Amino acid sequence: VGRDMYQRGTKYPASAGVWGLGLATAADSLAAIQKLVYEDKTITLEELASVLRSNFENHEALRQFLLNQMPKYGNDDDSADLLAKEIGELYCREMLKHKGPHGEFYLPLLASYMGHINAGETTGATPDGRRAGEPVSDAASPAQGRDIKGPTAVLKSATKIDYTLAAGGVALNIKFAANTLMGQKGLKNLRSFLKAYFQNGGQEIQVSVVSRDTLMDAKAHPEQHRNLVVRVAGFNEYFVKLDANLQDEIIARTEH
Amino acid sequence: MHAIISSIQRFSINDGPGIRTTVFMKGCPLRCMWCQNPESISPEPQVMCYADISRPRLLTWISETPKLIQRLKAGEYVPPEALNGTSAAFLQSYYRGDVMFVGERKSIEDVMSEIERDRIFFCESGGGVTLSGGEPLAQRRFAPELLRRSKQAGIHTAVDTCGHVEWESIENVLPCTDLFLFDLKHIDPEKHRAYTGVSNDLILDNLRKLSTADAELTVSIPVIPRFNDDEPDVKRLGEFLSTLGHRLSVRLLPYHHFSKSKYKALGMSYPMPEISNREIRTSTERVSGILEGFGLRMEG
Repeated sequence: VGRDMYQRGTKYPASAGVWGLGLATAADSLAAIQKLVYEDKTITLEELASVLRSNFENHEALRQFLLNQMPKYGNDDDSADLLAKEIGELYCREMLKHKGPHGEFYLPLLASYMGHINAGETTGATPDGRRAGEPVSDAASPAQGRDIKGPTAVLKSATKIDYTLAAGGVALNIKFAANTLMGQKGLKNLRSFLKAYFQNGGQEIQVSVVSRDTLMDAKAHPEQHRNLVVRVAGFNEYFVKLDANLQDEIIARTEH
Repeated sequence: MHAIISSIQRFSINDGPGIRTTVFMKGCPLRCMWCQNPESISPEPQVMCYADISRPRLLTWISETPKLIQRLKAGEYVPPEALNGTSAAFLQSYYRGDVMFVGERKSIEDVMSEIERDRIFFCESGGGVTLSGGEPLAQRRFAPELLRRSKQAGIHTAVDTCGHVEWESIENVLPCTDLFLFDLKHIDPEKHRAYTGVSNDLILDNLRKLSTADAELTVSIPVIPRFNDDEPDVKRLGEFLSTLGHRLSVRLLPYHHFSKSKYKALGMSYPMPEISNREIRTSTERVSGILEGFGLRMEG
């Protein structure tokens, strides 16, 4: 009877991947604490902790401030990105130090499938403005909708982390509006965009196109989609800033 | 050296070749009825309000609480509990991003370092920086200097201009501009005046001169149904462009009304009538067909 790799059935020790998720949530939270508690000293750590324990009850203004006015990973801003780098690399290095009971390696991943949703359900409110129970950020991606400086800034942020340590793999999710990628010019730009990413330390990226469902969701929950941009020559505006009927028009134009 | 910048947009993919960073400058000599960047018309910093609150009251509040506003602009958290009801409500809108100040005075060094951030993408895609606005060439010292520094840094440069500037302003940037995106809104001087506030004499004159220069030249024509798509007018436009030599290309920019919310946020009324997407599409195809008939090189 054969034994599988987790029962020492293989010549070489098996390895176990360890999901890494919530990187941006952690980095954004520490960035907010650093600025608000230690630099500006406008709120003490105890006060902030009590606001979080209450899940921002009666503190919506502070929550909005934390969400919209604090540095966020994914915007090519060192004050959040370097924290993401520190946290991500610390976690990877620590994982690589340990071995399982049968000598298995623990391979750190900065990827998590849908794990960020489950993890979010059991995680209390966080200093980045996220409410208790909401998903934490997925894999190595910026937190939901907080990357408002566009896709090049996301890649700049993401490549500050040394991914060679994430031996189990990395996932970075990025979304484009369909018209951005249209035609020969769109494809050429996408190719250049990806090439620049991989030449500068990128490991993995998952590109998807903003769907009709995403836009509908953005209309209903603007807070999670502040990064969606309407791009026309010589013009730009965030989708969530458009009037409802203009949003409907863009939704109608988006293919299923 | 400083300029009032309304925004700096990275990953701009419609303002010249490749992946670009577009610098939108505030202040424009034209008042086009269909302006898509109304926040760039006035050279002064402005308040944009997307929240459902009274604009006059908001402006009064801002002018009466200069110290508070200064703290907000510095990114400080001011707890609303310490303020009266109105202030607290406005503060919340500000934190949410529904009230914002547009038009930041930026130094040339700051703008350059923002441009430099996407160098790896410029190199790979053949992109670079585009100066837009508003009218970038109205910044008579800032624009040439920014272009000169970009060029020196090996970055491709483009200028998106309405053309209504003294020729010297264009001449000054010629040595350091790779591409001009030159807007031409109407061939008829009187209709041009009616829809944009100024005659097109200076614009046509500048375009003639520019067409003999070395820089690459794209003439951008907004297609505004009922305003500039009359067949005789478009034919005159085609004739004019075809006398400018064969090096220029023509880019049509179909009208859209996505700026409506920006007008509202600025407390301005939207001056354009309702124009359907069907009408825009038909008109654009017709204008394109007429101009192609003049042997012009059409982009896109």
